[in-house]
Amino acid sequence: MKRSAAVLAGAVVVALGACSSPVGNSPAQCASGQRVYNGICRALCSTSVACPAQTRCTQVDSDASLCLDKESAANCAYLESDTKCYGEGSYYHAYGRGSYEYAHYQSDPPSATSSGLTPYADSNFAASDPGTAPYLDMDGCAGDSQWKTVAASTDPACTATHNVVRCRRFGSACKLIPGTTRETASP
Amino acid sequence: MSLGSAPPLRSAWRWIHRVAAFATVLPLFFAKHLPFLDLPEHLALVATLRHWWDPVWESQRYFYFESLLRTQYWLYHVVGALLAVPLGTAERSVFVLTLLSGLAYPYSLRALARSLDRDPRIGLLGGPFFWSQALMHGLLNFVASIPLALWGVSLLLDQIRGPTRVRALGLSVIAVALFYLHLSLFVFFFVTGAGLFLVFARDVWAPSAKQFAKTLALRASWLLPAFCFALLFVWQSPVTHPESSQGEHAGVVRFIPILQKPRLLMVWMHDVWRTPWHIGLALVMWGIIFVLIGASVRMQKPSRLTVAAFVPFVVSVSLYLLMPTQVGYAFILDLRLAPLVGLTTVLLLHARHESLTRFAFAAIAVVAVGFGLNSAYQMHTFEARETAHFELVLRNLPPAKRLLTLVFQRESRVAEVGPFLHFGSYYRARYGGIASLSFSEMPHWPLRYRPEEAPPKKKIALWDWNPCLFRNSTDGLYYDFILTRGDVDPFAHHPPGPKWFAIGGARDWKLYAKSSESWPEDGPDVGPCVGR
Repeated sequence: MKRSAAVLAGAVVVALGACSSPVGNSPAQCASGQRVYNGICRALCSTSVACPAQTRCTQVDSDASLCLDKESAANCAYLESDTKCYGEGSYYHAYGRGSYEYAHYQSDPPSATSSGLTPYADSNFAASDPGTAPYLDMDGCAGDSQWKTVAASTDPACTATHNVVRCRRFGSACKLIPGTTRETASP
Repeated sequence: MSLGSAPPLRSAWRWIHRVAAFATVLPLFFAKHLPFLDLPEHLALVATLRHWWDPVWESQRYFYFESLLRTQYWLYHVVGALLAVPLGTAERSVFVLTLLSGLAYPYSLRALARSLDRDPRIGLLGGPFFWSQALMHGLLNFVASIPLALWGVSLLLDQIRGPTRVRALGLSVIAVALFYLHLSLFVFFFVTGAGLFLVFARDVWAPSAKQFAKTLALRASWLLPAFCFALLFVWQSPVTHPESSQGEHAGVVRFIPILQKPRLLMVWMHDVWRTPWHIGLALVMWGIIFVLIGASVRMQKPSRLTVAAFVPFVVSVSLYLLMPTQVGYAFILDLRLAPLVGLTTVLLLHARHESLTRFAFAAIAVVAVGFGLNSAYQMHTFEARETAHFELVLRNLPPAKRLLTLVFQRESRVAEVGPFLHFGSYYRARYGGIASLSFSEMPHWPLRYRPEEAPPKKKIALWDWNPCLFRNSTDGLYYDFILTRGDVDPFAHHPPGPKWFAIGGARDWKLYAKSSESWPEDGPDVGPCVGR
């Protein structure tokens, strides 16, 4: 029994070692007019007309669009609105005569619960009121937004914006803040 | 072979024990990226050691191996590096080590239960303590050291009652291994050993002091190698000489108020997933344990083995309550001991051969399997929802570059302990080079940065917890890639310093490469979190 287990374990080790794949197959240098994206050289583009079949011209940052295949951008995606903003974090709250209590950030709506919260974050979100933007972050607040995949509606793809409300902390309150988010090239 | 008089397990219970042990490690197969916070940093270290002489990885350009007299933190990683040779990658090697650690929990507990003349079915309770916050924090060498310590205590008990040379040799190896796996468990092993010697002192007692000292020296001679290594460590270590190398954390010793510790015990033992199932199962399990302990109190006859069973329990509880939480760069030294407290508590059970016991252990087996199945589901959910697309971003990168990870959104909705902080270390684990921030900044870590190649320092160490401290004008000059996660685009406002462009992305992960151009300096570099 013990011997067969040892033989089996040895066989597993050898098999795993044998099927190990080499790493670091980086494209040494992409040709002129190309840029690497998710490990593959892609053509820079301004419209999908210039892209090979099965690929689509897709914006990847503010300066560039690339012909992405379906693996890197099956479609565009954006983070839908949060429907609630739950105050997970807490802070020391002062009240009367220098006393303090430990209080949770206020949720929006106040009856929001922790069920169905998601871990996703939106770096493309821009608050409608630019005056509030410098005071917003996510620390201690959590929303329930989900990624939504949509068909490309622009060319280059993934440049469309969507009106959303996003869970953000504003001082000691977690609030649903109106604003816009941009699509992203994403699997 | 245990000297305890506990009867061997019947065939059915042996199979139940195997199933419970398998259920303990089953969840590891359900996620490619295990949600253990420090795991990628361990992977990176193992991979760098594995590729120490590989010119493509440039390991020796960036790192040097700390003197073995100054670190006692290397055994897990050297074994991992050796295992990575036949297995192919550090990820597989650490996976196998984690798997073996998980399997060892029920078996080591069973071995110690036997040596204490307890019911060997107590081993069924080992698995649930593997899935603790110590594991979720990725304290992998610490997690591996717990079953080794339990085996060591088991062997020690047998040695005290019937010394043999072979067993002494085994104890010697375990003591040295524990010392180089994790100091906390070495301390536990040493103090527990001393306590057990006291309990069984009558066996070594001799009328003349000389004869007694000789007998004692012979019985404890196996401890000599570990004792010598410990002395050398005390002589050279940055822990005992913090002023020489610990910078801002030099000499820092912090304690958590002792009254807070009992409340945190359950959290650190079982609060690993965001769903309430794991804690619910834990409450059921502890309910059964306390019923059995209650039955034990009424039924057991006092014996030296009964007293001996209290020794590891008292030592682990004392260490948990009294240890500082931070010594220099070593953190959460106390709370991580919570699963050890649980494992030594269940050794107090001594109700055997009763229908109640049979029923209770059957229920415990169901609960133990439930722990495994729930964790497997959580691991699957974590991989599917939170890391499924991460692979794309790190695909086909050039080797031996310098990557910085800025995680603005640390939390997971599946795991209680946010696991993403060191995900950038997967780069170093697969391609070499540097993935910052790294534990190589810490003086007790076996691989340290060469000063001439080290990343730019900040006023606080390990500033990955504060990614808003990133400054493109200084940090940006050093790195080749920046990996981000979260709600902040660090380059949205074109901060002064090198220009960056996206070379990868998947959902909220983004990978940037440095351009040869720079953004214009039209203001101070206020960092990524101001004015977003």
